[in-house]
Amino acid sequence: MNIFLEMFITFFKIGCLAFGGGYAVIAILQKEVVELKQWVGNDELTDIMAISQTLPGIIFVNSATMIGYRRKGILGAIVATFSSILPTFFLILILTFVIWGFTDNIFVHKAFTGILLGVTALILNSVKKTWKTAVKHYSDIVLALLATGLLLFTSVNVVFILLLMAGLGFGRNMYFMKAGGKQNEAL
Amino acid sequence: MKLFELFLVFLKIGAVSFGGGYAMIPFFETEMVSHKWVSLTDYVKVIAIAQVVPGPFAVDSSSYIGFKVAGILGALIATIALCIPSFTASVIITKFYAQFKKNKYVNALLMGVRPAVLGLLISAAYIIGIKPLFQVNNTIISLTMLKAIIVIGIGYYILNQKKIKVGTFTFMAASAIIGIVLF
Repeated sequence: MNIFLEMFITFFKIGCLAFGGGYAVIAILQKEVVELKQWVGNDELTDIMAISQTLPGIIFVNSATMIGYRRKGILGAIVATFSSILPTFFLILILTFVIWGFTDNIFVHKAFTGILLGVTALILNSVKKTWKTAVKHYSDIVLALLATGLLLFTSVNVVFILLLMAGLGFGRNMYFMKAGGKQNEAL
Repeated sequence: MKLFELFLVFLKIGAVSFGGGYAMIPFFETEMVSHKWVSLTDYVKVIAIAQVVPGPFAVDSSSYIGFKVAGILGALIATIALCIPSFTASVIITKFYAQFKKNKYVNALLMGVRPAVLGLLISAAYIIGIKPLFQVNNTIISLTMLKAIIVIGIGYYILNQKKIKVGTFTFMAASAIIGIVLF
């Protein structure tokens, strides 16, 4: 089979199966791309996941782009990115049309309230997971709370807040590197 | 003109939205409010529907907002614009991966952004779980609020159970039923 067609089918399939966000998709990528297709090795996938999470944008799509690029250059990257987004793109548009008519219904409204509380629990769960990788020093907690405070209680644009936090975090890390030398390289 | 504006806004979101997934909620919220494209109540409904749609949550948001502003072409432009920055970054990084990995400045910056991602997630939890309930009735403590916090707490506890693995579908279906029974 043509490699591009194979790529399209594989990433389209993963896009259809990718319930539960960025972290859940790691397991599916491992099975489809590493075990079945052997397009990248397991260690490569781990690196790809790590980089995808630190880049802006969507974790799954970033991973798809990287795997596509490794396998077949820029055209591979385009095919992988495009096919991984396609199912979500159409499904949300169709579903919003289908469900929207019912949203005035009291039961649908109540069900949505319940779902959003479930989503909140999911978000808190990813707060916990992110906490493990983001907080290595007490100053990280200060930075995180500062970002939360600015986001919730000021009308400063979120882009500026993020740039400010990135600057502060970068400065702090550079200072630690200078002060601690090798000892703090793991930071 | 509207299409161009959509393109620019989603290009911007795509370039700065570190953390992915739910951490992107504050970015979408800010832009929707300032451009008056979609009301927060409608967007919150989209977040609920997005739970039964597989795939990246940000694509759900960009497709829906784009569609509301300028139809199917708007949806396409918003989604493509959202992906352009990270696509470019992914390609460049894969190309120069070995050099980037050793660069201490790159590392210091990437690590520096992580606490901010945490802040984004915490405010996303507030925007989705607490803010809509405040808008319903303006009292600080109400029965609805109390019930909501208990439901969130139980949901969080279940998600952190190591022994029982609950699938996303099951979890969302259970949340919907609890919503119908309790609210």
